[in-house]
Amino acid sequence: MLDEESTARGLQKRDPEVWAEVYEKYFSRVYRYIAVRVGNKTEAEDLAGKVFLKALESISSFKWRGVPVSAWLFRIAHNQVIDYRRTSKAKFQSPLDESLVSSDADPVLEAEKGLDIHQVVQAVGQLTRAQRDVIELRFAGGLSTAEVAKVLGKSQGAVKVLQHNALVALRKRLSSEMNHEEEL
Amino acid sequence: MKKSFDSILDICLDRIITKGDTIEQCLENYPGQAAELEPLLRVALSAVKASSIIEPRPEVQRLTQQRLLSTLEAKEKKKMERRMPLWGWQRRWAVALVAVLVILLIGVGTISASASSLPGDTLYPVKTTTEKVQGFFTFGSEAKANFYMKLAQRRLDELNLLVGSNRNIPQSLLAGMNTDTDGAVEILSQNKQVGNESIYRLMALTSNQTTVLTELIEKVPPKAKLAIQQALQRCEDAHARAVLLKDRIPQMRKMQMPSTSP
Repeated sequence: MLDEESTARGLQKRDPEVWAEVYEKYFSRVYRYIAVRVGNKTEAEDLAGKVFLKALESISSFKWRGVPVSAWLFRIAHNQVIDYRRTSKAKFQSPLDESLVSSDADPVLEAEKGLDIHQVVQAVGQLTRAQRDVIELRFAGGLSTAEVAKVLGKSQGAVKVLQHNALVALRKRLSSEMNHEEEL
Repeated sequence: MKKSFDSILDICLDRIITKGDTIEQCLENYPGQAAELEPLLRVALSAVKASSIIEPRPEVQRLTQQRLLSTLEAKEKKKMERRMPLWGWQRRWAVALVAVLVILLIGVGTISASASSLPGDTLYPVKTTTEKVQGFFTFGSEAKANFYMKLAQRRLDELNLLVGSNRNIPQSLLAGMNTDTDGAVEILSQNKQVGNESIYRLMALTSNQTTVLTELIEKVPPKAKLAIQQALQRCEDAHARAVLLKDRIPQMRKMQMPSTSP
């Protein structure tokens, strides 16, 4: 496993092994992040692929300044989603396509996990834009707060505050939803 | 220095999400904030678990990786061509020029006769050179994709004829068929304005290739089996990509249709 700087240098040299390693490590995470934002499996797969092609195009201008490769990739993914939503004129978060959930997922196991992905995405969709960005990058993309801060160009402190407020809001929305379901 | 609640929450989230600690283990370290922390950690953990079931299709993941690595390879090749100009556009013109000279020298009749030649025949190089010239003068991405499909189909027919007459199958024939097919797939993948007909034609071609090669594996001598197997794998990948393109058709139609909403 290469360290961040060696990975960045390998990418710049267009070393196929390094590119393959980065792809293996991040493709699923980038896909998951895009999928919860666009709500459509085929589009998400297409966009996730484009993130890596875009990364390849822009690697010559990439300068190693201590920014993790993950933050660089997710920044591309973040901008890609913004462009997609602008061109597709989707004003609001699309509802999740049923096919997004992996067909290998065991329904019993999924039920035991508690919250349904559709409930979560719906609740996240009601957060403020900034809170939503943090939650989607942190929980669907699996980034640390330091990496989220780099992607969004915010301080780590600001990201932590947004994360806290977002979780408080999510808790309220999700618990009221679950109570509502129980009453039904 | 006393940590803020935001930082404690963040530390606990990192421990739970990345290190696999339990919520209870975290709360033990922060008894003063436990009551406030616990419900937030539970919501976060549920959200992470819920999103973890979203996974890309493995075949898409593999094909996208293949596409990335072939783009990487093409970029490197282009870089090399820039360093050696004769390998770039000048070479393509040189090919065209040589082809024109060949046509003038050997005459149209020979070219017509070469159409039915097979790899190993004297006239086969004339056939492939003629194809290169045709390719050079084929303009427009969809036309180019259709031209590549035509060539791939031609290679497949030649393969069938070679096997039927118990002749050797050159590796370059299989490689040529795969390269032409991949070329068509690549063009159609990048161009969202292509007609449905081209995509269906690609699906039919790759499906036909898969069927023919699967049947051929049983007929060819053992030393040729591996090469056919590898070519078959590439045809199957191309077919999977063609199916993905077909899945895109409704979305492409939607994008092409003007909005009717007020």
